[in-house]
Amino acid sequence: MRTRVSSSITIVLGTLFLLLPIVLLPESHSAEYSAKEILDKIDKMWRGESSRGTFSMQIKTAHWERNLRIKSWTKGLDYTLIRIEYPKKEKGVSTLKVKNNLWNYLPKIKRVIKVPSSLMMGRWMGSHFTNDDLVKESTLVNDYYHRITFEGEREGQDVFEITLFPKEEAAVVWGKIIILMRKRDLIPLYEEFFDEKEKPVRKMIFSNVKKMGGRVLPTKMTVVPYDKPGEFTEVTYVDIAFDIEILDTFFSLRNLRMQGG
Amino acid sequence: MLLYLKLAWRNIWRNNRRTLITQFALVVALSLMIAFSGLTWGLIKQMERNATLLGPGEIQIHSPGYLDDRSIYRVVDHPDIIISKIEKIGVKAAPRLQGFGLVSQGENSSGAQIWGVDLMREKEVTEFHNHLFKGSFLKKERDVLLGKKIAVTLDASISDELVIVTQAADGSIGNDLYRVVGILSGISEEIDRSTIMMSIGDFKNIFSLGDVATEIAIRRSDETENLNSLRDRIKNTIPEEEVKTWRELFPAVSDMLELTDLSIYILLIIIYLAGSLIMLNTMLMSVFERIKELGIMMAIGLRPLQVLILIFLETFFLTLCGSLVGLLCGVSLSLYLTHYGLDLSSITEGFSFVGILAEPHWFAVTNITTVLPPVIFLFVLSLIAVIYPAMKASLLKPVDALVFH
Repeated sequence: MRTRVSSSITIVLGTLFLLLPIVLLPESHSAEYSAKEILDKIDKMWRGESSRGTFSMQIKTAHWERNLRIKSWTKGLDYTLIRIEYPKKEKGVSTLKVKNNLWNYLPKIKRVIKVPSSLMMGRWMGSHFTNDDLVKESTLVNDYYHRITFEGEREGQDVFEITLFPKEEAAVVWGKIIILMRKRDLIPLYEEFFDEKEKPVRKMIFSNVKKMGGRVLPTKMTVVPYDKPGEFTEVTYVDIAFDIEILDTFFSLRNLRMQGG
Repeated sequence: MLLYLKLAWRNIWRNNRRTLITQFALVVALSLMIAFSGLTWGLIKQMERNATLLGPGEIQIHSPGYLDDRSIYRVVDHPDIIISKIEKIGVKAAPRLQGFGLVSQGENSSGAQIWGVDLMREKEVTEFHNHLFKGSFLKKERDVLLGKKIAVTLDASISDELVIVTQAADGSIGNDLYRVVGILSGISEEIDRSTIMMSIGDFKNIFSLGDVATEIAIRRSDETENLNSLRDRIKNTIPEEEVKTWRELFPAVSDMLELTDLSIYILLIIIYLAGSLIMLNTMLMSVFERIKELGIMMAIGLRPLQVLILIFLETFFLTLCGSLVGLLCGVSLSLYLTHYGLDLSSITEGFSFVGILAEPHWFAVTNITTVLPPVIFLFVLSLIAVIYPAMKASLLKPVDALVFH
């Protein structure tokens, strides 16, 4: 049976999570792993060699509410293509990420525009995800120091808390990230993002842990901004396939324009 | 009295060379100060113009709360009704919409502040249409104007195609193609670096907005009318909206311009201090070399007060002669700078001052406010400087003075 989860959304989230089969990391051994090893393992396991997925995105703000259906393709850490399938007005609006570059394609006017680095903290398509969530995703392990800051029972579960602080030389946007994950299968429960003054900015909550695409993972993630009460963006996976055949040339500007996929 | 005048006039020409040198110093000081004052007022006027007629207008109407949270959801509804109401007061008004978008030309892109302006009304309220570096003002739909620096960032020139992507008011992704018809000259940091103007109709389309405006910019029909009382009259007409003058909207700019005025007086005091020291020296010398003479005059009946008056009259004549010539030179210099200006474009491309850009071609202003204070100050400081020698002279005892060598 194919389980479903879009790993691309995990990219969108800029997070690292994923399921190690319990056998790989039995509870009795967990203490031997450093935070870095855990993150590194998660990072590697999580996307597979490649993926193709579908998810829905519900965005609620003070002024409007929308539902999008989105398809995504990923390969390694460098390539991502995301395409909006629904609603009609945005059908075909696509985002391509190649290494640290980000482009949007707008089918209505048939133009590709590059998203400048100054807008990396801008909202992706009006959601509470930032453009940076897409691009800087792969740098979490490289650009932050990691430390297990808590290990034990919390909310009735045996958990790890990993705190990430940016390295001095890293050009990162968050001042601190706290990740809480279940010890028994390393499924993340939530991630909390802080600014440079260590003031909490937003929280990403993971839920609906299911088997999809052959892996066990949270199939729902909700971003809640702290400065805008009542607003959120919720992503729910519909379908995912890992380790599919996909060429690098699929992630090209040409293909972005041609609406490949 | 005539005798004093005659005496004073003759006394100052006792030593021609000294008098002329002293007067030359006064002429230089006064000419410089008149020109400096003219240039400073020119700068203030230009800044005020840039801060109002090349930006917010003189008064603005907003929905309450817009200034704290500049979002396209805090809008003034049915701006046309408000405009027709306040036009009856005798002002010119233009509706505007402002929002944020991503703008792209070819390979380049940048975040930008987008203005939707009324093609006809905007020309009555602001002077953007007279301030184009290249091209023309907006004429029709899909025309856009760019700030000077953002045009460089985007590498965009006249007739280039621009893509603008926005987050529309309903959450959808607004995107459309436009054509560059003009590039604005340097105005302010903010406008130069990040502003794009389009017709208010295009703005409503890309942002999915109805009959609203984020602000209404207002300009007086009568430039002598007091801004604050005009604001109050507008406020009375539309009590439900927020009405503010540009001085209230940009207090930093307003305060800074008022302080600039002060810089004239600071320089005035510094330059005139030197002038009055020369004056002090001249009169002190003149008193000392005439001690015997003054002693004789006092001996034959001149009273101390009369000596005091004499010395002050001499100083007055000295200053008068210097200031007449200085006035002539200073006003000529100031008028020259008013007409031809000071062209600094070879040195700088203009400098920014509390976010308002000053153009490199700098024109002075010449009028009674720029000319009178330097002249009055000159007289006041000269007369203050001469208090000491005058007291010295009037307190002489004839007996001592007669035997002084």
